[in-house]
Amino acid sequence: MKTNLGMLEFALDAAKKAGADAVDAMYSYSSSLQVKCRDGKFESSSRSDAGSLGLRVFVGQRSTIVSSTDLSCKAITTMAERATSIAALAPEDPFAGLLPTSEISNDFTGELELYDDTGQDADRLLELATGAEDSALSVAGVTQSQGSGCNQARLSVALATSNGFAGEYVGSNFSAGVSVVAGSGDAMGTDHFSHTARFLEDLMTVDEIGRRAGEGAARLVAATSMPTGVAPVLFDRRIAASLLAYFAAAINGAAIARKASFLKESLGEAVFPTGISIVDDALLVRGIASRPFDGEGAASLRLELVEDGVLRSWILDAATARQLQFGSTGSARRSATTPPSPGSTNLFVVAGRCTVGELMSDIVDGLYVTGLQGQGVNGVTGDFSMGAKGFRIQSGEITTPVNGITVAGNLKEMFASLTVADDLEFNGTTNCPTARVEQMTIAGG
Amino acid sequence: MPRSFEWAEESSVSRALEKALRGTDDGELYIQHTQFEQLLFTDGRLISSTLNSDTGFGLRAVCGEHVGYAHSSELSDSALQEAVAATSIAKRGYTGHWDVSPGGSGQKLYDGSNSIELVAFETKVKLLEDVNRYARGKDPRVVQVSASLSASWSQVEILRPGGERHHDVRPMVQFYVNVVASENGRTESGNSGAGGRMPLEVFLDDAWWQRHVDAAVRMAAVNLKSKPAPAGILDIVLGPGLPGVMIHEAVGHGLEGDAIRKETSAFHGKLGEQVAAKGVTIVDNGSIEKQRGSLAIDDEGAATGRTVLIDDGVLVAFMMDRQSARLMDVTSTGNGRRQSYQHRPMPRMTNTYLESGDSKPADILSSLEDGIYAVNFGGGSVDTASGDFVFSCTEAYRVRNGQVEEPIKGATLVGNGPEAMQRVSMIGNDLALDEGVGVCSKAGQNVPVCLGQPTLRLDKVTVGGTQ
Repeated sequence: MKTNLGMLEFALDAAKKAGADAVDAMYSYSSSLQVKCRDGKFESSSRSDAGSLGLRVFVGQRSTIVSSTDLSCKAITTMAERATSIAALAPEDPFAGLLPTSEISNDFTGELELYDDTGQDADRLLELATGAEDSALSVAGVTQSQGSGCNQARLSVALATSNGFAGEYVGSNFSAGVSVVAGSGDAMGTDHFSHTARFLEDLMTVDEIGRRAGEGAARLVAATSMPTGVAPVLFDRRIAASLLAYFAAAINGAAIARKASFLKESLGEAVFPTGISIVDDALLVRGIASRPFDGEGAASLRLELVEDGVLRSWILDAATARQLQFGSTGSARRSATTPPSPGSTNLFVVAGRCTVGELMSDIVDGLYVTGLQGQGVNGVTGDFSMGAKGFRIQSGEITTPVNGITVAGNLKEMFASLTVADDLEFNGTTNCPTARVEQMTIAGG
Repeated sequence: MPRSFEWAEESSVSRALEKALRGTDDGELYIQHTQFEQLLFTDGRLISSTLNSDTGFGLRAVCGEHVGYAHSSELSDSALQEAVAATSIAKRGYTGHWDVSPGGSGQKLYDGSNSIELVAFETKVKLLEDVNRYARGKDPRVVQVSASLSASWSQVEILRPGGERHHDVRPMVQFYVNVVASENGRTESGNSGAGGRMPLEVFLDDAWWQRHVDAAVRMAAVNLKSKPAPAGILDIVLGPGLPGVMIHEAVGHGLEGDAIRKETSAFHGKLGEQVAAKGVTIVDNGSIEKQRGSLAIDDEGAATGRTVLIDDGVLVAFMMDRQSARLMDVTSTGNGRRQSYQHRPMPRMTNTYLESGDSKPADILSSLEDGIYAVNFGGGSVDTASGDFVFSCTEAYRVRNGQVEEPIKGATLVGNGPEAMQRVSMIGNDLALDEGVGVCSKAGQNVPVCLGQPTLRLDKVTVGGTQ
């Protein structure tokens, strides 16, 4: 078994010999190096090197997954036999199964530019980490570093199915970030900033990363509370992206199939105002979440999830697609150790037309949120209640920093009034410009 | 013996370990074999079953404040040689003094048998099918039931130079049920779960799991009647058990040794001070039998135990791993934990709780003129530097003139740890630990923990509602 695909073929054969009717096998291997520094000095390094092989075995409509880090022939054969005997005991699931043969895509020829073969060098990573920290510490008002880090990873994935799919790819990932404190005692502001890219050359400069973290902390010093009331709220890009992630969870096929989503009746309806478009693009060149095929061998797609405010599609894998009676949207996420389930890839709200200043210009008294804390989101009801920090907006401008408040509302209503500025920037897999929601309840002092 | 332990016997391994740790202050080779099984049942059927086997090693070298860590899922001399090379970065320019810490403990807190192998797959499936049928039959408003069963079994071996060896076999099981109920176009949910380091057989008793399904259905039914929570500053009564997540967030993370030594905690510099109201005693105890957060030895091989952190309101101790203890000139409290061989250890909580006081819970509730009574929580988080914490109620009620009145929808409570603890005004005599569902996340590592407290009254908390 000299190649990954060769090893997968061996695993598929072993499962068929053990009595499986259908099987797929995934191997994923990652090697990474992370260096952290604090106060200008090396603090820790962490090197990882781990791979796992997972078999998903079907006996009729019965299935199970068995995985192992032991890749010897003997271990794989044992895994195949064990998986087949467990599968035979599992109850039938009418919706489970490999991707239909007609939906398999073996012919991806595009170039996604996923892999930068720059070698892993601890000294380079240390230099980047200390650079980000130096930059953050040089921002006026910053008093202490909580540490910075730089990480480089290589991930390889191989997938083969008994109904004819076989493919593999390699990807790289670089990230750098820093966390700092400004002020002290009761008048303290904290913030962190990090950036992620597939290629080292695309990584934001550490000067910029540090500057953003430092300025973010310094601006929040001497934050106070604000009066309880109802007001319009702006969310900065990072926080707006977290709202977008709640949207993705609410249109995830798994939640829809279980009828456990506040958007379960909303396909074809206006969920956002006109003018809002939301895209999930698994084919974005150098995209952090891009890949040539999904976790079941379906073609990667660019999905227009929301067009002019109207919800056009769920996020589906093969099983949820069968249950909801659509085709898979090529959204299966899968690791060697877990079953496939639907998930977004490079998800973003298309940039709007106005500047951030214009987005808030008519707000007499409102809030600009730069941090949210807690788990106060209910995916079934859309109820939203989170700890928040940020700035007051008064007469169309950002004024004093606030902290220790909460913002509450309901996501369905929040999405119905959501508008965005023109400042879309890509950092990580889920991105949104600065966003505005018309009415939320703020609880403060 | 599984291959991991055979490999550990080889002289090439002890030679590599000696070489890796020569000149350092501390370190170890951590070898782990884990089996993990999970069954997920939802929408009337078993939607997945997985069985994972994960074996590997983690090598750590500690020099003062510097740590070099390397892990691999390949148990081989060549992988170990690469790890030795990778961790040597921590040794640059450093001459260490080897830390001969007493390690190990004779504690037997759990049974090392493997529930994954001892309970038949069909039995596990049938349990989940029974849960589903019972839940749907319990209340006609139930429209969705999700239930899961998971079990893990982990063998850990910790090797240090000079032949020092520590060994532990750790079981863990967890049961969880979530129901969604719908009435008049309104949909709400409720959940319940439990587990710990105990055999899976515990779950097979009908009375045991039915109690949890009843609790989840009851919570969903209560939430169907809930009104919007008030927004503003109110006095709060927290119920016993799971609401101890407040202690975990408000105090726990701030008392972890690494945050203290790096001066990134709101409790830094406050040893010996009154950081909480009188009567408040908070403890971290890793040596309680069968609890989800317990460990016979921590992940550095040190004995776990009961550490009093805050005594009658005074800050008296922190939770330490070996590195923080050495740098602060104290001894490890057995709180050095890691998620797996793929992660380096750091100070983490185990079972963390506020001890019982003298008040009767009924008296605490009747003392509340205008406030909220919160009995179930979904989770929380904290900014350790500032001490600002947040946690979310999943079941709470409005209280007026000492009477528990209408249920209110998912309110978020915010506060600042050192400040909030000064405003604990009544402590009940009914300490309870959560039933075994806690997951604590820190620096990208998840570890199982337990939370607890008695009924508590906390004055002037900011409540994030919509009214």
